Amino acid sequence: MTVLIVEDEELAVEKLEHMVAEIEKEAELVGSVSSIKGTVEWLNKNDAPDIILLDIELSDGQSFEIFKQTEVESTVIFTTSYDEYAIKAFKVNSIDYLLKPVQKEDLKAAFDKYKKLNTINKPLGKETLNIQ
Amino acid sequence: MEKLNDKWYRIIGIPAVALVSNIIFYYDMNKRHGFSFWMDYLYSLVTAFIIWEVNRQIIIYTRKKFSSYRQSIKRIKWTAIGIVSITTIIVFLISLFYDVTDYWGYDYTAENYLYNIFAALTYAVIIGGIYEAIYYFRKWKNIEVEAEMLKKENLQSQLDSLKQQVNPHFLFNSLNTLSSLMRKDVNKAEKFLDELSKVYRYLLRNNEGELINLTTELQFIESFVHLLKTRYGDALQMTISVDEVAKNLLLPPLTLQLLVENAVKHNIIDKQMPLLITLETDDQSWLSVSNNLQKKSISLPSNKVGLSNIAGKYKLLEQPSNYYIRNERKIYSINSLN
Repeated sequence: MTVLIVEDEELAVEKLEHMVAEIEKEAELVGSVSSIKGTVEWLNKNDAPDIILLDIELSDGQSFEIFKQTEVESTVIFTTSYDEYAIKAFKVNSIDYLLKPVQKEDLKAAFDKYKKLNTINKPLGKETLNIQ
Repeated sequence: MEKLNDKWYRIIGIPAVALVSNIIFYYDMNKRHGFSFWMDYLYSLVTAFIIWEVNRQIIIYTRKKFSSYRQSIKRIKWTAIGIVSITTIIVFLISLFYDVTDYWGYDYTAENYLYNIFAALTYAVIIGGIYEAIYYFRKWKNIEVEAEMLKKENLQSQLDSLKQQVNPHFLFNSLNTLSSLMRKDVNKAEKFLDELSKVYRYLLRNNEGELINLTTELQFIESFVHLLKTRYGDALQMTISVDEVAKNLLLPPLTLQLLVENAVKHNIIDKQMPLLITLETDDQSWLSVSNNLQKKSISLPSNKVGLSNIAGKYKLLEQPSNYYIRNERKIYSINSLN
């Protein structure tokens, strides 16, 4: 399970890295970026990670901009201290909206949700292929 | 003005008044001319109707003219004068008519005139009093409700401004930073927490808007900037250069904080593109906060309340405040008070 962290404050990045490593052994941190520009570049250059931990307020604007500028195939977990964007976050492929400071249990629940959704979706995907 | 909603009051009141006055004031007189009860009642009814309706017009007029609760005394005075004088005139004229035409078959003495006027006035004043009492009570109740609403609105606006100052976004971002620091560097965490509590103490204490001297505001700004610097690292740089002479100048609290916060909110803060904020005074005691202009790609949902708030405060203080862009820098300057 690959994870990309998008977060503009260095200390917050460290905190998330630490937390991810602690609660999810399978998680592999593939990078961290701090801006809209940086995220779009990263996504265009690399394989889509399984999960993006995405802060909403980034150094150069709001992360919703990323979805306008590039195709995002990853599952998104928003991390933010702003609760007013929850509705907007629904519109992109997000599975959770975590409020900062992120609590361990909440992050773990989000990862569990990701895994659960994935095991349901994968066999379904194969079946669809077989029918075709 | 609200409509006079007295339909039932009149439908029941006029016949009732006619009946009562017939019994109380004119019982003996009626016996003298020997009309039937209903005939006498009809005369009283017509008289009562005329007096009521005319006085009602007076009440409508004075209410229109002095409608508010505060004008109650004027209204009552003029209503009373109107009712007494008009009723007297009407009854005098009616009596004159009876007198001249010898209507009832006996002479009208001065006493008869006075008696009629007295009876009609008793009636008119009581009815007028009831009208006014109802009106007055309603107005008084409205005033109570309005005062209550005003109080509530006032509290709400105080709460709003408090919320604005406490700024939950800033608080939770800071708590997040603190949470990272605690694992990484306990000493830094401690320092951060100290500054955070200083900042919040100042925010909460200085909501009310009295002027404060620049030294105190600057101490607070230093704490505030410490928090920001811990969060953003080298991506944010702050230069403060304030002349010693200027340090006793007065300004509305949180003005500088708002300007710094604005700069942080609307500009890119990145290691590759650091945001440079400068706070300085010049020799004419102008105080300015400026930053290099590197706006975020999409503008944030800003309500522009911040800057107009400052402009408003300075207008109230009758002091100039300026906002302009020069040499790629956005500058907000205010003239401090002595």
